[in-house]
Formats: sequence, structure tokens, C-alpha cells
Amino acid sequence: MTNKLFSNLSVEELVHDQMFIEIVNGLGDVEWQSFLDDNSENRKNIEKASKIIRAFKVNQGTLDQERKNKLWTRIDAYNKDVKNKRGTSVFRTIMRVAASIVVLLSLGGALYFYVESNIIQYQFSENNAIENNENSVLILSSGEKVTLKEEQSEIAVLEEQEAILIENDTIIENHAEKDVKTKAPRLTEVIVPFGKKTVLTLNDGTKVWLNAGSRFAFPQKFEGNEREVFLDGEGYFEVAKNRAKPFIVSSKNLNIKVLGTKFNVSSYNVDNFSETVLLEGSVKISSRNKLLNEKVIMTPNQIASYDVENKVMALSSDTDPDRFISWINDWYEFNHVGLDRVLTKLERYYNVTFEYSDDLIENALPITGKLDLKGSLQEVIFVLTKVADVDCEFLDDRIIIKPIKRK
Amino acid sequence: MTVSVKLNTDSTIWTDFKEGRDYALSYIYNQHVDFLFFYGKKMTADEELILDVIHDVFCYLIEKKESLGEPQNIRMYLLKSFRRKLLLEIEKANKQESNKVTVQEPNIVFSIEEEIIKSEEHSERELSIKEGLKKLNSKQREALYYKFNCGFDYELICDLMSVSKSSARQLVSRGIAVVKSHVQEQGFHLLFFLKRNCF
Repeated sequence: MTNKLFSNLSVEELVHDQMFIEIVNGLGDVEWQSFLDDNSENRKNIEKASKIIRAFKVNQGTLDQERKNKLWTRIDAYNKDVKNKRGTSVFRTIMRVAASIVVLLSLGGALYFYVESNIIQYQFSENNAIENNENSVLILSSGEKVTLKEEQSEIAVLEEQEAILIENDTIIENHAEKDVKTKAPRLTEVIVPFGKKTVLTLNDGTKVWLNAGSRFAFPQKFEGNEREVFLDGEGYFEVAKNRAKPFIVSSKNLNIKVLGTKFNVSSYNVDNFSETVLLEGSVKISSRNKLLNEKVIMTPNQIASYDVENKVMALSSDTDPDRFISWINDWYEFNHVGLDRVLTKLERYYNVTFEYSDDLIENALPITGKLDLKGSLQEVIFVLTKVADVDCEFLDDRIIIKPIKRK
Repeated sequence: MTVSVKLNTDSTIWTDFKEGRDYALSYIYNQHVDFLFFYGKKMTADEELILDVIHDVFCYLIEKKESLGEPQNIRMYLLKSFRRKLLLEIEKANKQESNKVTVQEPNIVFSIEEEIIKSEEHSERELSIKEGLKKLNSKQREALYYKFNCGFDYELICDLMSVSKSSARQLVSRGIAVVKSHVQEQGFHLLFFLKRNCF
């Protein structure tokens, strides 16, 4: 353990040690106590050194959010200007593979959201479930499969009956069976293929909208002191308030923890980029395995972008975060978003494949505006081609997006 | 499978920033803007000026990103550029107002000096620490601030303050000496108290 590094140091050595200083400044009360316990043999020196370090603490404070956002807007605008002038391609390539994790927290009060390490990842029962199914599928705790035929299916967990209500008319028994290996009750899964959506109500009253191409696992009943569910995809959550039992959405890269509110998570396993958007309240993102200085506090109208490849969380501002949940009402709203990103969303929503060149994406105008998804795919594509100033060609198995040939 | 959220080192963030990846810029901004702002406040009361200078620092980075070096510590790199620009601006403003006050280093006040003594129990010790702190000059204060609040090691401190590494260490050591004796005293009290309770 790195903690043991300090077991033989004198007060003098400790106060000059940069790592020790950062531990003193970075640990919360509880963590500090356990650090002291780990180093009990040198406790006297450690405590004395920490008192000296704390005597030199300078109140830092934070810049108020309004001015912080305003300044960021100016800097960001400058950055975009410089970029547009140079037309770097790097940005485009990243966006190509990008999708979003969106966490929207409304309702007041302080809400916490954090990223934790060392969580065992849930394994969904089928690997190619999304590609292999035409309809949404419910996989019960027993492993039995139920096909859901609607475009937008509705599912509700009935705790008392140990059953699940489907489309408001069919009740299916769902006894929580124990896993042979882990002895824990096996979860129930919902698979939403491309082109479909599902709304589900969990046994605590939490409502979840699952977007196309998502997998979701939940228990028939929330036991223990946390409410944990697993997501590969995008979902909008209206979490029933229960301060004693935090609600956790686990995905491949992040764990999102809230005490009860509304938020939207989108984290597709195949994507290497995620976004988290906060509407109201405040959110803390921190990593458990890092002692120091690496906490991100989210405030309203901020987007936290998580770069999976580099494992970095970054914050930026957004004036209209509502558009991140527009998909639940069958429209998408974009503000200065690359064409490729819009196409990726439509591919999932309509279960189609677009073909286009990197060149096209690089030269296409960023998209701003609303796309009404209630119309047919053709209508939506038509609107999009007008906005993006591109041309399209419908083939049997794919749609080609290409530049307009002008005379 | 283990999910680990490894937050990035300065060097990868910097490389990504130089490659024009947007997340890196916003990451750098959010990680350091509070720090720069409050550092600025130790140099001037003009908050608008501070914000403008932070803006300039970032614009400079964006403009020149391809040709920038590889800083070991982004915060320190930003601070250096910020401080230089801010001092120039303060000087400019002073000339206009024919104000003769020249600022060279930040005015560092430790929290303990700002706090009003509430309980009598602590007052004596705090008072004596305060008395000790009074003896520290602005250079020493600045070095102590970097050392214990900014996470800068001596190499960065001597670079920032344009002094040798050994004098940077000396500036810090002086401050430690001032506080150490008072902390020690308290330690004895505590020990005595514990012993009494054991009987």
C-alpha cells in the first residue's frame, strides 16, 4: 500500500513531502481517519505534520457559476472560431464514434452523482441480443423470454404479485430466482432493438424510458441499501425519491448515483464517448481510486463529457439541456452538432445504416434545429438533407449521404 | 471485469488539448479557473480585469496550441502566464490612474489569520500561531501558499518565484518553524489530557 510510505517519516520529512501534503489536503474526514489507522505506528508525527500543513491553508472559494459560464462561453466561442478557420479533422473523427451519456437532474436540492471504481460489471445474458431481436424482449429472472410486440412497449414491475405487467393487459409471474454461483437474485432484463422504445416502471415507482438499441437489467425487488440497475444504451430516468436508498445506474464505464430525481443516462457499450447533462441541482463526480484533487462538481446547464479511451471527465456549458431528453417525445433537437452524430442517432432510432465519407462529414455544416421523429424516415432524412445541405440516395440495405453536385 | 475511472495525468490532457480535442480544453478550464480567479484576487480587486486576463490566457493557449511546450504541471503553466499578463495589465491601469502602488507578488492571507477566534480554548494557541505568522514576509507567504495549497513542488516554486531551489525550500522552512513549536505545545496538552483520563 502506498499509505505505508509514510510510516517512518519524521514531522520535518512529512511536511516537505508533496504526496503527503496532497493527502492532507485531499482526504475527507472519514478517509483521513482510515489513513491514520493505516499508519497508526507513525500517528503522532502524521498528526503533527498535518496540523502544520493546515495552518497554512488559504481560503480558495469558487468563482460564481454565472461568471464561470459566461467566461467559458467566450473562450469556447474563440476556440470554435480558431477551429473553423483551420478545419481540423480530429474533432470529427471523435464525434463519429460518439454517443452520449446524459444525466439530467431536475427537482431542487443537492444531488450527488459519482463515479466509483472497482464495481463488478453486470454481464447481460446475451451478447448480440440487440442485433438478433426484431422486437423488444423481456428476459425474466428464470431466463424465460417474452416478446413485446409494440413499437413502444410498457412494462411495470408488480412487487406484491412477484410479477410483471406488460402493455397494461398481461401479467407474467416473475419470481426472483437465485443465481447458482452468486446466490444473489437474478435480474430481469429488457432488450430494446434498434427502431423501438420501451417505458418501464420499477417496483419503487421509478420510471425509465429506454431508447432504441438499449439493454437494461433490474431486480424484481430492490433489496439492500442501494437501488442498482444496469444499462447499456440510453435511458431517461424519473427516480422515485428515497434518501436512504440511493439509486445507481451502472454502465460499462460509469456509475451514476443519485438520491432521487429525474435524469437521463446514455451509455452505449460500443461508444467511446459519453455525456452527462445536468438541468438543476448539483452533482458531484469523483473517482474513488484517486485521492487527490480530481473531483468534478456539476452545476446546472453543464455537460460532463466522459472520454472512455482516455478515461477523462470534462465539463462544458450548455444553454438548453432540455434537448438531450427530447427523444422521449419523439423528436431530436440539436445545437451545433456534427452531421455524423445526428446520423448515428437516427441509425439507432430507425434501425438503418447510413453510408458517408469522412470528407463529407468534414465539410458538412453543423446541425442546429429540431427533427420530428414521428414522421417517416424519408421525411426526416429529407429535412436533414436540407438543413445539412447534402444529398441522399436510398438503397435497399442502406442510405447513402453524399455531397450535392452543383452545376 | 473491473471498471476503473482513471482520471488523466496532465501530460495526456495536454497532448489531447494540443491535438484540438474539445474535452481537453473544457477540462483544463474547469480544473483551473477557480484557482486562477482567486489568485488574481490576491493581486487586484478588479474582478473584471481578472476575468479578462483569464480569457486572454486561454485564447493565447488556443491560438498557439501547436507550438506550445510540454508543461510538467498545467496549473503552474497557466499561473505563470496568467500572472505575467495580470501584472502587465495592473501596471497599465496604475499608469492611467497615476496610482503609485506597485504589486509584485500576491497578498497571501492564511485562513487562520482571517478567522475570528470563537472559543477560548483555542484562542491562545491560535493567537500564538497568528503572532508567528505575522513575522512572515510576503515572499515566504507566497512560497508557503504554493507549497501547501497549490500542490507545487520546490522545482515549480523556484521556477515561479525566480529563486533557487534551496531558497524556495528556505522560504517554506521558515514558515514551518514558526508554526511547528505551537503545534508541538498542543500535542503535549493532548498527551497530558489522555494520561489523566487513563487513571
